[in-house]
Amino acid sequence: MSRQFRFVPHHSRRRFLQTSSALGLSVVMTSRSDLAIAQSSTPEAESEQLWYEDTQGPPEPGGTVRFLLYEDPNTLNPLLGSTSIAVQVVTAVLEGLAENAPDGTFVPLLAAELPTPENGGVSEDLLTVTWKLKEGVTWSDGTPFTSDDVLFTWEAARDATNGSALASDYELISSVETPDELTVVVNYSQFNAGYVDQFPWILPRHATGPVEEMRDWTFNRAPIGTGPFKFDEWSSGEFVQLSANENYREEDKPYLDGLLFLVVPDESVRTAMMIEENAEIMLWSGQEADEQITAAGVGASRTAPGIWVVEMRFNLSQPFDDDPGPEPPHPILGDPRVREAITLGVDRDRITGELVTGTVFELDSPLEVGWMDCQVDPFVYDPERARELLEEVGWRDEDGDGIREAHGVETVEDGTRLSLMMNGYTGFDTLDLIELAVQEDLANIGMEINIENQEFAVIFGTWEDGSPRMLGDYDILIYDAGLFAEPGADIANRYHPDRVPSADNPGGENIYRWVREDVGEWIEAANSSPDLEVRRENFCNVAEALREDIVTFPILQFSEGSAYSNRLHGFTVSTWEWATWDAENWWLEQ
Amino acid sequence: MGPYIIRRVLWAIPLLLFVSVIVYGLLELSPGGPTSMYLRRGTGMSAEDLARMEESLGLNDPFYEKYGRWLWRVLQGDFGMATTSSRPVSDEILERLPNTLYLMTIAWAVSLLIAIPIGIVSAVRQYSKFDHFVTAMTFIGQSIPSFFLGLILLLIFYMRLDNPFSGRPLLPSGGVETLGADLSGWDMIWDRIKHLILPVVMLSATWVAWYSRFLRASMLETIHLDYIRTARAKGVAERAVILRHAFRNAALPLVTLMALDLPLLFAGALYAEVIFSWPGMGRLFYQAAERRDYGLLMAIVMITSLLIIVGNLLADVAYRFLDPRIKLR
Repeated sequence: MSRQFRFVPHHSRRRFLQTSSALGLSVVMTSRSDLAIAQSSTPEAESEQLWYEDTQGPPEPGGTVRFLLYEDPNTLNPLLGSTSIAVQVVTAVLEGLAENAPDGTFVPLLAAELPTPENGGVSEDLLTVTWKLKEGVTWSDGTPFTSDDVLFTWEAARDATNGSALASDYELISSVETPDELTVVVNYSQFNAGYVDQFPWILPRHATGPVEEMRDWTFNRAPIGTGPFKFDEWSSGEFVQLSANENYREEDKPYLDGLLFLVVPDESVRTAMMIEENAEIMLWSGQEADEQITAAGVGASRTAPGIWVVEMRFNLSQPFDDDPGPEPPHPILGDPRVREAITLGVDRDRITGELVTGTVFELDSPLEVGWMDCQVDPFVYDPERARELLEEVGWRDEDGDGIREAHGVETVEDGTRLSLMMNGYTGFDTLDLIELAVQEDLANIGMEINIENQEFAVIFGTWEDGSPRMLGDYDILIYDAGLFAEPGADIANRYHPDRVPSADNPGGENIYRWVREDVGEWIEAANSSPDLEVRRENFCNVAEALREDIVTFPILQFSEGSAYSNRLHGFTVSTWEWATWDAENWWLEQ
Repeated sequence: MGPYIIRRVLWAIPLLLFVSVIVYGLLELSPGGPTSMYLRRGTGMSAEDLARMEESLGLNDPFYEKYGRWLWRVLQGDFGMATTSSRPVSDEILERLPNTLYLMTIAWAVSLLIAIPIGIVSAVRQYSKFDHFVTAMTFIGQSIPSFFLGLILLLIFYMRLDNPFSGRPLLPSGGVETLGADLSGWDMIWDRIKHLILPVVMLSATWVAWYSRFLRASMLETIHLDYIRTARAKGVAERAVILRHAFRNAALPLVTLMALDLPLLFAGALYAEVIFSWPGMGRLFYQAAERRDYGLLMAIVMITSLLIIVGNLLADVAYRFLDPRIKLR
C-alpha cells in the first residue's frame, strides 16, 4: 500500500523476521548474486522475480480462508492509524486509487489510469493532478463509488483535530475539485513527487459520518469498502469475519466465499492449527513454525524480500555536547578513515551466512531497493586494511590490552581509547546476534564497541521525548528501517542537509548529522520530477554519496512472508503490499 | 458490624487514591506512550502527525494536570477513551468481561466442587493410599507452570487424539464456541462445553491443588481438637462430626483464600486466555500494557484494586458470619 500506512507496533517487529532453513538461505542467496551478475551482462535477467507467486489453476470457487493473526486489530479505519495487524483486514475491504505491483511500480486500482504528464493527468506546472476513476465501481452496499468519495477522504484525512493520523501527508493539497462523477482534480500548492501514492484508501461519504466526529464513526469497527470482501462481524479479541462482496467489480471474483481472521495469540497454537488444517494462513510465521508446518506436509513458508534493512548508522557530529547540530565533528567517527575501517572490519558474510538463520540479503546501500535499485561499490571485508587505516589515523595499541589508543590523533587527547557506544533496541534476538558479531569483529581490529540496547520507545522517541537518536547523543545506532515503494519523502527526511533534527526541526530524521549541499540538490531534483528515470538517477547520486562518505553501513535485508496452506492458491507475496492485497484471486482446493 | 463496614469502606477511598497516583506515576515514568505503536521507523507516520497526536491527547501536559483530568472524569463515572482503538474504555471492558466471568466462575466452581471433597477425605483418611495419591497430584498441580500444562493439554487433546467418528481433533484448540456453526439448543451447549474443558482443566489444576491442600491442613488441625472428640463421645454420627462440626470450622481459612481470589474473576487469567485464544480481560490488560493505552490500563487496575478491597472486606465479614466468636471492630 503506502508508506503512510505501514504502522508497525513495536512488539510485532520481530515477527517481520522471516527465518528459514540454511538450505533456503543458500538458494535465495544464489539467486540474488545471479541477479547481480546477470544485470551487468543481460538486461532481460533484470526482470527475474524475487517475490512468490502461486499461479495454479483453474480456480475453484467457494470456501473460507482462515487467516491467523496474533493480536486484535486496533481500528479498521486506516485514517485513524491502523496497526500492521489491522491493515491485513482493512486491505481486503478498502481500496485506494493506486496500488503497487510486486516490482514496486504503481498500478491503478480505483483509478482508470495513473495520471502522468504524457496523458495529461499532470499539468505542465506539475501542480494539478487529474484522476480518472474506473467506471461502474460500487461500494459493497450497492451505492456507486464517485469522485465525491475521494473529496470526502481528503476532507477527513487532512483534518488535524479529528484524530487523523495522516494529516501531514495531505498538507501539500490546496483543494480538490470534482468536475464530474468520475473525475477528481487535485490542486497542489507545491509539487508532490508521491502524488500517485496520495490516496491509498478511499472512504465512503455515505457510510461514515461528519468529518469532525471521525473518532466516533461506527465505520471504524464496521467498514464499508469497494474491495473484494465486505465486513460482517468483529468480535473483539476473537475474530473478524468478512464475506465475498457480491457487488465487486470483477466478474466471478472473489473466488472465496469468506475470509475469517482469527486472533490466536499463542504461536505454538497457531502452528498447531496450521498442522491440523484448521487454518490456511499464519501471518509472519517464524522458522520453528515453518519447519513444523512443512514437515507435516500441509503448507510452507512463502516469502518475498522485506523492506527492512539493518544498518549501522554513524553519528558524524560530536555527541553529548548539548548541540544537536552537525558541528563540531565526532572526535573519533568524524574521520572517514575510521568509518571505513569499521566497514572493512565487519565480516558481513559470516552474519548473513552463518549467524542469522533465515532468508536474508546482503546489500550495499539502503537505496538498493524497489524501483530505484541503486548499485554502489560493494563493501568488502578486509581486516588487514582496516588495521592499516587505523594506524594511519594514529590509533595504535601501545599498552598491549588489545584496544588501540590515540597517539597523535588530532581530534582527541593522546591516550584516549578507541572505544565507541553502539545502541540498538531490546527484544529482537536477531539484532542482538548481529551486534555481538560486530563487537567481536571490531575487537579483532583493536576497536572496542560497547553495546547498549534501549527500549524501543526510547530509541525511536521523538525530539520532545529527548530520544538520544534525535538529540544526536550516540556514536553508532544499529537497527532496521525500510523505505516504501514511494520513498521520496523518507529519503528527503533522512538525508537532506536541512533535515538535521533540532528544536526548530523536531521532525527531521537526518540523525547522521550529514550535511552535503549537493545531496540536498539531488533530493530536491528527484522530488520535483514526475519522471521515474530522473528520480532514479538523482536518488542513485545520493546512494553514491552515502557510500563515498560512509554515512551508514547496511548489513542485511530481511525477507518477509507467512506460512500458507498447500490448499490455498492464486496468491502473490509482495514486498510492497500487505498479505491480503490480492485476496480476490485466492482460491481453495476443495 | 454496620459501623465496621462503613469504616472499612471509608478507608478504601484514600487507599484507592493512593493506588491510582502510584500506578499513574509509574506509567508516566515508563518509556513510550500511547503513540509508541505508531512510531516512525524511518517510514510510517510522520513526526509532525505524531507530535500533533501527542499534543491533542494531552500527553505533553504536566503530570498533575493529566492525573487531575483523569481523576475528575473517573469521579464522574467516565473512564474515558481507549487511545489506540478510539473507543470508550467501558465498551472495551464490557465486551470482554462476560467471557471472563463465564470462564472464571465455572473454573472456580469446578475447583471448589473437586477441592472440598478431596480436602476432607484426605484429611479424614490421613496417610491412606487416597491421601498419598492426592498429595502427589496436588504437588504436581502446584508446581507445574500453568502455561506448560495448557500446552500439554492441547498437544494431547487437540493434536494427538482425534474424534473416532468425525476424524477431527477431539477437542477444539480454543475460542468460546465454534465460529460460524450457528448451533442451537443442546448442540450449542455441548459445543460450548467442549470449548470450556481444556481451559477449565488448566485453571482448576492449580486452584484444586491449593484449595484442597489448604483444607486438608486445616481439617487435620480441627479433627484433633477436643470438641470433636466430645462430639464423637456424645454419639454424633461420624458424617455429622466431619461435616457439621469439623468442616465448618476448618473452612474458615479457605473462605479467606476464596475471597482473596475474587478479583481474579474480573481480571481473568492471562496464560489460559493466550493459549486457548479466549477473548477475556487478561489479554485485554496485556494488550493495553503493550500499547501503553493509559486510559484502559488505569480502568482495569482501578477496578481490580477495588475488587481486592471488596474481597478482603467480604473475607472478614464471612469470617464473622461463620464464626460468631469473632468480633469485628
